[in-house]
Amino acid sequence: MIKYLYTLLVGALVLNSSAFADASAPNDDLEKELAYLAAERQVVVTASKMEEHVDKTVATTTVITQDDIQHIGARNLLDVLRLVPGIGITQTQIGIREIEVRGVKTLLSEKVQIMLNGHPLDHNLQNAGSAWVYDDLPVDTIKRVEVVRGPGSALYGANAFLAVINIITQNAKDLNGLHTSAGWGSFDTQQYRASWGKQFKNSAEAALHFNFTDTNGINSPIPADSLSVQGLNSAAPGKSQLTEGRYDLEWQLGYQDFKLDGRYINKKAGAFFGTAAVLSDSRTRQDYNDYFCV
Amino acid sequence: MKIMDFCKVLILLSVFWVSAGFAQPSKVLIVNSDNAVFRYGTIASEFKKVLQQNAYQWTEFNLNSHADAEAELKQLIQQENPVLIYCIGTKAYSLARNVASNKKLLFSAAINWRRLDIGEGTYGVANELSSAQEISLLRYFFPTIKTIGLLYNDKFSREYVETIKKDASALGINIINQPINDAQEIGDALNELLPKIDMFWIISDPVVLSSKASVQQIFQAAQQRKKPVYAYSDVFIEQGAVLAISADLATIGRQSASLALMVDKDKVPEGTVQNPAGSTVTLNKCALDALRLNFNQDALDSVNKIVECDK
Repeated sequence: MIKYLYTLLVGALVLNSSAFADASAPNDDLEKELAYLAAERQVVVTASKMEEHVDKTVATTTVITQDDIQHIGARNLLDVLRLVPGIGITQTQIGIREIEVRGVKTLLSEKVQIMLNGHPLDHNLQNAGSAWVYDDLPVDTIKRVEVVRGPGSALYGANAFLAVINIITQNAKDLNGLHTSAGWGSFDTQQYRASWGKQFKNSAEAALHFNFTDTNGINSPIPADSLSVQGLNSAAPGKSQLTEGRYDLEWQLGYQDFKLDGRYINKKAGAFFGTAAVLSDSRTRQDYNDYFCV
Repeated sequence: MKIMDFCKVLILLSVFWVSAGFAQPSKVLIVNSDNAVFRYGTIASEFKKVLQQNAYQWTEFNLNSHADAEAELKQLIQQENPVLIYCIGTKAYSLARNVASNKKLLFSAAINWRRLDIGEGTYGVANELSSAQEISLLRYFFPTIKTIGLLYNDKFSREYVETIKKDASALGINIINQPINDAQEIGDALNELLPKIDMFWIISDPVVLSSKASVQQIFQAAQQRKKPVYAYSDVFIEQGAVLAISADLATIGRQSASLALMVDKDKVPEGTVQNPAGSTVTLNKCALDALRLNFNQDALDSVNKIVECDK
């Protein structure tokens, strides 16, 4: 009998405590939520700097990362851009490479805004475009390429009519030491890269990139040109001059909020097939300098 | 020439081998505002599960267990050199932003993220659901509701309330917002606001929801005026809210981890802030019946939980 009463008492206690647990559960949830709000109440911050970023992050943005670049085996910027939906790369009869966006292209791709680390690049030689200078930019030092398709002039400036291509190179934080790479291929192609970067304790930072690339090109056969068809003295039949080479030196220096970035480019290119539709073995050499101070 | 080619290949291979040997698993630093807070703790726990599945290393730093958190966090960041700092809560984010502005930061569980000082290399998962999504659902449930009122504090919720107003206006709903400076003003603000509105919206404002008494005051006033209450969390269903659309905490943790992995691989544009991906819709049928409020029966398909009256 005592055992029975004892069991009854324990049972009643269990029932009672579970009833209390049910009753207290919702309060617990509310208390947990109020505890969270109290923790958030401890910090008051007032600085809104974000809306511009959100506007830029439109659906037509494609980001190609260093990882992607390595996986596709891209060697220059145009190899990377070929991957982007809506972007095509074509070459004119005289060897100029054009960036085609959604089926629209211009000879010097001046309607495509190319940016380096967020700085717009404008070269007067090609009517304020930059594709001519940056088309064969080696990719080893590139951290990420962001491509925004569609008109972006309101955000990025006058040339951003077809697309904006923002090339972001590795900075001191990404490098944190010395990096080198080398590559060789057919047609006497060579590519070398050396980068160094360091962040100093006094919030100063420095990054230095050097790229060298050179190739003889594929030498396409050109059976006739505008002179040879008229029976005049001509280099045709012969081979196109697709030799290409460049070296780039880029530096990024920073101290607190001050930044000084620069890039020196020395570029050489074969004549391919001349503007007068004449085969020529001439070679041009161009020097470009871009400096940015922020 | 052949020897030269062989040497070139040998150099290439050795560079490849050396760089592969130096590859190390990425390390993430988790800074938690207070791991005793349920929301922060749940999010942190789910975040770590995903990191573990992806063979990431992490170090945790709880602000509530360090006397000189700023100095210690600074030292830890220098020592660990993490690829990313995951900040749970506004306090953690503000501190990390001060001591490690040059590091990639990812935040979550921060009320009204738009008020935060966001710099380069900052990413986040918002604490609030997309207000456009919430208002669309509200309209779907209650097509007759035209005017919604809310209380807020300007310091904590101004940007969020502005977003709500903009989204509501696009969907044909009028928002009447009443700012308050402290919880003492709730009574007067409600007396002024409730007669003008069809529904009251509880947002996650830490000044408005400063205590249980404030919560009770809101629900009592709404009940007296027979106004339905919509809330951002289902914890208010028991208090009498007719509908709650709450962001799922575990999903916020997992979503933050996915974002962290993408950030580490540079797969997302800088400044990306995602809305919470998971939500739960709870309908309080009991409160609806008591208010004799009509709602769209077809909308019941969208409900995850229906709360009936206790019999």
